[in-house]
Amino acid sequence: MLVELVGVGLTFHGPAGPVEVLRGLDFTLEAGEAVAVVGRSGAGKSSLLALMAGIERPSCGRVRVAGIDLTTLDEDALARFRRRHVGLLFQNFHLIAGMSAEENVALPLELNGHRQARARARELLAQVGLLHRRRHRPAELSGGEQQRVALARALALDPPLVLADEPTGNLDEVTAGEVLELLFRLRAERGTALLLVTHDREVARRCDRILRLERGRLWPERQRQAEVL
Amino acid sequence: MTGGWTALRLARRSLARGGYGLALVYAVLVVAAAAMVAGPVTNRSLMESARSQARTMLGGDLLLEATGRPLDGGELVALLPAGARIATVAHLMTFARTDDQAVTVSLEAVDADWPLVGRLETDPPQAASRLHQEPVAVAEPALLARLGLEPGDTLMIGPRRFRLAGRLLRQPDRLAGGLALGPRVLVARRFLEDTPLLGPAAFVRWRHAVVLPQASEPAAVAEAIRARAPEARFRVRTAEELVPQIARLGARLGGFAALVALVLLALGALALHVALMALARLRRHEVAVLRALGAEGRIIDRWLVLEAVLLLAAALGPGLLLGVLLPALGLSLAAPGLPLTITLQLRPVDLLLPLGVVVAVTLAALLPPLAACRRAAPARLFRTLAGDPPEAPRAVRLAAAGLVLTAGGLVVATLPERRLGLLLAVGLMAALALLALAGRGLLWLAARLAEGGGRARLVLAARTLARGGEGTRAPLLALGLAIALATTTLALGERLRRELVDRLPARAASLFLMDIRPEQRAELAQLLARHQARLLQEAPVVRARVVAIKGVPAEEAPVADDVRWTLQADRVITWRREALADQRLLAGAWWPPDDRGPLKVAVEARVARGYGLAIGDSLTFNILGRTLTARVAAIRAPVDWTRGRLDFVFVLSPGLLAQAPHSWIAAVEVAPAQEPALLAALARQLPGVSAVPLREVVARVREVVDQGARILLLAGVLVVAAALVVVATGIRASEAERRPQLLILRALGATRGELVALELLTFTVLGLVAAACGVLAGGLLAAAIAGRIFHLQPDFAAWTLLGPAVLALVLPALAGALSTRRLLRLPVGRLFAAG
Ligand SMILES: Nc1ncnc2c1ncn2[C@@H]1O[C@H](COP(=O)(O)OP(=O)(O)OP(=O)(O)O)[C@@H](O)[C@H]1O
Ligand SMILES: [Mg+2]
Repeated sequence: MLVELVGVGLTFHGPAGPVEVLRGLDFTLEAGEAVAVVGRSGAGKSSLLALMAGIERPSCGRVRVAGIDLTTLDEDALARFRRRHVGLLFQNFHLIAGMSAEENVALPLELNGHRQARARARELLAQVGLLHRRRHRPAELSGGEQQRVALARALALDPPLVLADEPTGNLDEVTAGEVLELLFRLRAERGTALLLVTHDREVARRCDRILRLERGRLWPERQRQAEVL
Repeated sequence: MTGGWTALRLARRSLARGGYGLALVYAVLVVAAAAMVAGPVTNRSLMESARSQARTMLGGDLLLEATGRPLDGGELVALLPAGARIATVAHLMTFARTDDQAVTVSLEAVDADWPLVGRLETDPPQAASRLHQEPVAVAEPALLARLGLEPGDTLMIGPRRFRLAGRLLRQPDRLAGGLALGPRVLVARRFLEDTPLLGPAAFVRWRHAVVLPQASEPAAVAEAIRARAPEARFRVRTAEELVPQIARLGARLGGFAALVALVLLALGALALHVALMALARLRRHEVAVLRALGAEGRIIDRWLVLEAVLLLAAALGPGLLLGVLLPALGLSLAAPGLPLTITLQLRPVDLLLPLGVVVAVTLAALLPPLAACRRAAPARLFRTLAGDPPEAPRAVRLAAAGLVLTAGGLVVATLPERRLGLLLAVGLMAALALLALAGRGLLWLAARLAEGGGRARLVLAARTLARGGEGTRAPLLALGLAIALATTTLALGERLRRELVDRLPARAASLFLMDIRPEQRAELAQLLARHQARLLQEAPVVRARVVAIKGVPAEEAPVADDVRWTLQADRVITWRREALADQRLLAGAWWPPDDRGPLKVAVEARVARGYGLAIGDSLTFNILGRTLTARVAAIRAPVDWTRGRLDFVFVLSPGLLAQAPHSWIAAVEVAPAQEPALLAALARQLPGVSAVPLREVVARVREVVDQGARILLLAGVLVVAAALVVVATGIRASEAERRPQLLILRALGATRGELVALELLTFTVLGLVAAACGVLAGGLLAAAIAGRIFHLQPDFAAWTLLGPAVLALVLPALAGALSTRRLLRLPVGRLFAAG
């Protein structure tokens, strides 16, 4: 079991009052498995990913990833955990604007003290087909190219888990298809587990399971899919 | 240690990336650091050089000065310890003339032993040694130029003829002789012996320079002499006593320099803070991404601290270098005009202290933005990044405030004028408080307006301001503070400049004639008529010294600093039967014209205040060796020295004095073309009369004053430029926040014109509040400094107050409009772009 969430609750306490997002949520993810999470906007999908990345802390319940109980870790330990175990993909890519593609990809390697960070970054860029653009800044790349750079960055340290928050939400259909193709191919090569938040049913269908986030919990989506078919 | 390397790499990369828009901010910081360092370095160099050369400047360990008659050998032997070496110099104003022209010169008639200390430099060098062998003179190049002479030519001084042996380049004790009112000429005293020039009727200042035997302590000898002859007609000075006078001058000059340096530093730090706060907003994304990628807090801290350190070093290195180079350059440029040779003195303490202050203040400006972006949470990456502006943790803000306070305390404690630092610190705090209050008020008002409805554009502007929160308050604070400091510096600089310039007579007489014997007056009148010269004023005078005020010896009497000069040497005093027609009396009454009673005196108001005199108090003079006590009968309205006419601090009732041996002085107006001929005729026909070439003196003083004015202006310009950088940086910093609103409004159909108008309105409101607060705070601070430190009335020139206010109004609006235009050039499509 790579990921295990038991009885997880998440409530935000803002100045405008508390917002309860997750309540009594249970979830498991096996190594190498690909799971899609769908749900209405504001359902808490991004929050769920943040919990698994150790970026948000649950209000109650337990979050275990790769056998590590995230609730017991301090901020720095969580950071090291992320570095080793999690790759992140965002809808807005979140590359660092001032750095070249190569520097962006090298970043996690450097954080981990990798000796040949730059060389390895170039290999990764080659794998996503962007070696020739390695000196370019994010602003000089298209959305799809930026997301491919982000993918190279997410996979740089070969994490067992990739958390992707609507990675194709900002891309046109064709480009989205290319990026997903790449994501699934690399995942298959490495046996990486994938938790993918998406609005796109086609995308969701490529995963092993589809879950719907609703009323603070995850519900299986198989039946409905079957119904549709 | 991988964390360290990664942090270094991150810091290097983000620095190399640049894009800080900090170039101008740096320029300000560099200049501020330079100014901070340059002040103490210059001061130290001046002081140390003065100390090491005080003996040379004085001419020996001790200087005994007497007016009229020299001390004779017997007197000197009685006063000085055995083995003391003495050299005597007679200093007088007289004419040097050729057959048809004359020039007033400062004549130094020296002994063969002179100089006891230092060396006389002449061109050619051997001219100095020939002085005592034959009747030769050396003269400053100005005289040669004026009379069209060459070395080898002859010139007349009094009844004697001298051959010009060479040019006088440098006289070691030229400070001891006081301000020279004409080119200096040096001759051996023995060639003037038995001429009326050195006779009892002439006004000669005698200087006896003394080098003491090894064992004697100059201060102790001076004390002993003073104790032995308390009411002597001579004055004793030691080399050590010369230094504090220079120190006072240095402190005054240093005071203003320190003020400017501090203001520049404050503005530099402010600009840096504003720029970095904006940078922090951008950098937050980077930090959030790094966090999400698994960077520990440690790495992020190290990265940010390293970046801060590198940023600091980049600004301080050049600043320090400049701070040392500037005084070096300045001193070497000024060297020929200075009475002493100044060598650059670099002491670690003079460099470290200002540097520490700059580092502390810069760190205080750096820390909060860095701490603010350190707090960026990666959870934001899942949502939008815009939102609340970064805020540093309270501990960091407190630390920054502590740093500023410590630095401020250090500066105040080490300033030559401590009260100046204190005033500035209090003034800055008050200005900050005022601006913070105004910021709150503005936000409140804007919120009310935004809710109240009404003119749509106004409401939109109000809402922009109200929503701005910190984004509104911070620029207001920065702009207001910049305006306040610019106002203070400008107002004060212009006030000081005017003070200097106003001291100069606007329309002066051409010449003051002195030492006119009563029987020469008729002949003088004829002579003036022959040269189309006009006699403007004349008055009988005797030389006198104030020896006691209200019965207390002058040296012990409490006397205000600004009138102490009236005690320092012999003054000319006059007497008058009747008050002048336009004479205003502030207190008391003039004596009856035929008054035969005890001696009475009318005292000028400023001196009366400085001495603490009231009607009926006594004032004791030493006149021609006799001690006379007068009662204060009247206090005269302050003398306006700027009118360039003869006037006197003390005017006595005639009584006794009219019978005393006296001379006359006169103010004369003559066309410049007639002047040399008039002087030549004077020298030939009225020996003993000397002339102060007032026009020339005024021109020379004006040169010095203009130089000072230029420096004050430069300081003002620097400060205003720094304030501009703060404004520009603030507006640039606000672009990131304004961009989304502008893009959205445009997408919603607002025209460019409407948007520019909206932004203009917003910036104008900000500028208005900043101008009001800034000019108020800055003006009050300037008034406080003018009054308490420089003892000046705070009647500031209107433009120095209005200028910064107009600047505060126009510049943000202008810069804002430019920045808006730039933002509007962005395609609305940006809205749909990622990120
Ligand atoms: N810091 C916060 N304070 C208060 N409420 C928050 C905070 N962060 C998120 N929320 C709320 O939590 C809920 C879940 O947000 P989340 O971003 O996880 O939704 P989502 O499912 O990812 O939506 P979308 O599909 O639009 O991205 C939303 O209602 C959001 O308003
Ligand atoms: Mg989301």
